[in-house]
Amino acid sequence: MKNWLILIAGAVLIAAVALSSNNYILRLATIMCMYATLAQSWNYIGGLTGYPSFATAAFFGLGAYTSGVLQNHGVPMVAAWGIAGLGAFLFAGFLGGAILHLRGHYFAIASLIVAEMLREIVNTMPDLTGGGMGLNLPILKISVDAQARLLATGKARSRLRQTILHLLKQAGLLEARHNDLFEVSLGPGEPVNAGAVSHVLEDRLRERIGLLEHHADAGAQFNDIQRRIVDVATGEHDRSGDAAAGDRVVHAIDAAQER
Amino acid sequence: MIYLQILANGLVLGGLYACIAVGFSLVWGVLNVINILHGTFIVLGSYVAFFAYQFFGIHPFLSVGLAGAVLYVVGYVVQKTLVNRVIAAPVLITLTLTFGLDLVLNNAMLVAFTADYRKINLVHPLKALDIGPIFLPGDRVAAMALAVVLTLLLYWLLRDTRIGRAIVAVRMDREAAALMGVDVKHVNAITFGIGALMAGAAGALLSIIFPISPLNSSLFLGKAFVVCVVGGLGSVPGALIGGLALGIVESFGSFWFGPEHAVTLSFAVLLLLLFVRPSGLLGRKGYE
Repeated sequence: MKNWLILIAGAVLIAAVALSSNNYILRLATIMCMYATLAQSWNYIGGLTGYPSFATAAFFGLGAYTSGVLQNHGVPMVAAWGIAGLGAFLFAGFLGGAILHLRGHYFAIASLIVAEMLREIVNTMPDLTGGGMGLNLPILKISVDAQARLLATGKARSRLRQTILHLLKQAGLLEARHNDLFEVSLGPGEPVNAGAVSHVLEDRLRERIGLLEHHADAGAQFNDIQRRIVDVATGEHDRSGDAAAGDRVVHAIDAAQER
Repeated sequence: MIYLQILANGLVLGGLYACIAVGFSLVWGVLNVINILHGTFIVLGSYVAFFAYQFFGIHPFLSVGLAGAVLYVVGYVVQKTLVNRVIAAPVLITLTLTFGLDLVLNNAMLVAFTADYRKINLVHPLKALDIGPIFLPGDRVAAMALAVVLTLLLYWLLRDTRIGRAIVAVRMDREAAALMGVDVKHVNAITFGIGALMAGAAGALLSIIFPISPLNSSLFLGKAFVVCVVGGLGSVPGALIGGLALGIVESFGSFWFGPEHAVTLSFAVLLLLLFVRPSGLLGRKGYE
């Protein structure tokens, strides 16, 4: 009973975070959830089976790169996630077949080496993976027309749907078939007004803002929303620990310093 | 004829790899601890040689002893105060401890020395050797020779000295050695110290060949892993042969597949070897 309460409280908290429009908190919560998942992933091999595994980093990296490379090649985000998980699953399965017969230190080293090896492979394929420079995912690619239509539906959207739409937007799903998706997201009985330019929208502060008519760039007026889209999609790259990152500076000593 | 040159390059590299790995192998074999700190110890040795050359003009070959002495003290203290507490614990605990210590030490070095790559350019480099079709930089050959001499010295130490026999005894059977009057804790600390000493000495030798940066530590650790697994655990001749084998494999690998794949290739060799023969080429079964 107590566990259930904690679980429900956690779910409510996460939902509250998702609905609050504070990007900092959202990012923090995302990282927390990611670490929790990662810890659980290690718990399966390290805790339940007792193998001293260091390969979790390899699976993590494999998933990140699979999904990143696929998304850069136009695969929708959610599909890329699925393929990445499946890929890591298959890789881990084969790897387990190869090294699970090792015991103790030897298993630890083998699993550590797998992670290092994948890193080396990634570093030697800069065309596909960006090498030491890393990989940037495309931020929202969407036409001005589509943005206008997206904003026009704002009135009917609930908060939750807005969040989902943000995810979908990132995935590039809307790029191709946004009309279908809007109808899905609006739900039954809510009309889609095609002539949305004169619509009155409610923004995040619940202030009513009217669109300027005949504005050249409908999307540009909603700087706030635009900015949020960009914020969500911008990846932060922390490469401070990466040996191969960036340029290598060599300080040469030409002569021993005289004292 | 190019193959002769590649083989020579591989042998020169291999001698240094042997020196990198032999201390690691000793600690693993005797203490049953995988010393993740080893790579950072090597880089620390390189920095000792670097600063000795920069400030006092001491040739890196001479500061091999200095780096070894400094690292011996560091290793002895680390073992006595920290590693000794978990010496009989499961693999994961000892591994996590050295892993964590490595993070601390490596990041301390990043703060103290920055991540910039430094290099020692000798004022009076040795002349290059030009033997028929083979061309070898003199300093590299000298470093390799010194590395092999150090490795053989360790072999002699383990075979023919009192403390060496005690280390081997502890390695074979800890309880029996204790019953014969060997102070196991002391021997453990000395062994760890010697492992760090070899790392520091190797670092000083490497400082004239490779760029110096804390970021290189995982690279050296990887080499130590591979050499250890190839040569078998805790065996000095095994480390020598494993080192030379790795040097040759990397040398030919970079020639055929390109230098950027050399590391991947050496790791692939390691995984393959673990798959087919976990005890190493010279290792004995059930001797872990």
